Amino acid sequence: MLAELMEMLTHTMAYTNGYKYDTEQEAINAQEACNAYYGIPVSPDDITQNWVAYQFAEYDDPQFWYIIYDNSLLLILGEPTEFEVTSPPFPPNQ
Amino acid sequence: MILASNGIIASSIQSASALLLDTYPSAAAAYSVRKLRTAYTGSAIRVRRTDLTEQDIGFSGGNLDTAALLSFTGTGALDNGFITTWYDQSGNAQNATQTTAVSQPIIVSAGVLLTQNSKPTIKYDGTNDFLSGSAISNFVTASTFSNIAVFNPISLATNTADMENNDCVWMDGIGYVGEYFKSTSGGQLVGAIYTASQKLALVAITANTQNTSFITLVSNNISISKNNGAFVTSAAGAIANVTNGLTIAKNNVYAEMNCQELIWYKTDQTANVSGINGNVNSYYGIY
Repeated sequence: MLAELMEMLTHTMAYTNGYKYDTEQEAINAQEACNAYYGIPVSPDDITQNWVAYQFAEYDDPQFWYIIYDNSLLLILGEPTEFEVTSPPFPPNQ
Repeated sequence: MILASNGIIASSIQSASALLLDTYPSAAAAYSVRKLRTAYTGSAIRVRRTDLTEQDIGFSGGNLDTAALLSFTGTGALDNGFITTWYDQSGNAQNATQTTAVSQPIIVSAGVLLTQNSKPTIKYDGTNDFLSGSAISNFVTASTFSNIAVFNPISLATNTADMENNDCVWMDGIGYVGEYFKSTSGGQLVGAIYTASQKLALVAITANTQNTSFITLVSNNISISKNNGAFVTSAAGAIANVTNGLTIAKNNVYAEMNCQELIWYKTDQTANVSGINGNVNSYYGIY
């Protein structure tokens, strides 16, 4: 009970507009679809290596992967949805 | 030529025209849209344009070479320029980068150079834009640092009491040290460190206003001043962890802001506050 209360105190939830995936491979596939659509990377020497990044919702149960919405993703990934992501605890590992 | 009747005025005029890091050397990292050090021969920024090609942009005199920038990006309605790299002018190669296209802050929008008070500025959109750097230990020590920032918090969001959940100018990516702003009490700018608890130094701030801030951590006390005003000092403490990476405009949330200059020293620059602020204000005309 105390542990659950402490976890609630050290985590915060935030609504995110974007694309949610159950597996990392699904997120990678979405990222690669965006790269292919926009032709990235142009050169391996470029700083820009991906059109969009995916993130890991490590502190949610079940865990998931997600991409934050950007207007440029609409044509490739479709309409976004809104979902909650739990922020990391602070201080970490306590 | 200005004939000064005393040495103080003459000295002030000279220091205002000098490059900041020539007068106040040994910065740990220094990012700017102006040239900061005569001996620095690298570029100011690397830019990605709309067709995804990239190019370094340097200086023209002491200013960003905006002619070269607009020549590269183009000046049409569909021409944009995004920052992939903000080069470190300190000589320590602590460049801040963004490898993801949609997260790159913008400097040319629809063919127009973005400016703040007539000087080029880098705009972060508050949605997903940020730059990353190496471990914060390359910028600060656990007990001592000085930071100068020139920025405009375009919008002030009310987030939480936790520093890592607020809109930051810069932070260590986790929440052990950084500078952030929020709408609480009409607007607050906060210099913050975490020891066993948060140590916060706060000054008032207004949304959509250009500022220069000066933060120091000296003898385990963090202090902040805005626009060469008085310092506000926190309770004592050292930074509990300096291993995490620098982020500009991102922690758990993303800041909407314009940013033109960020400089860190691993040393106490309190004795140079007036001179450094004078140099900054002479260029940017903030206050």
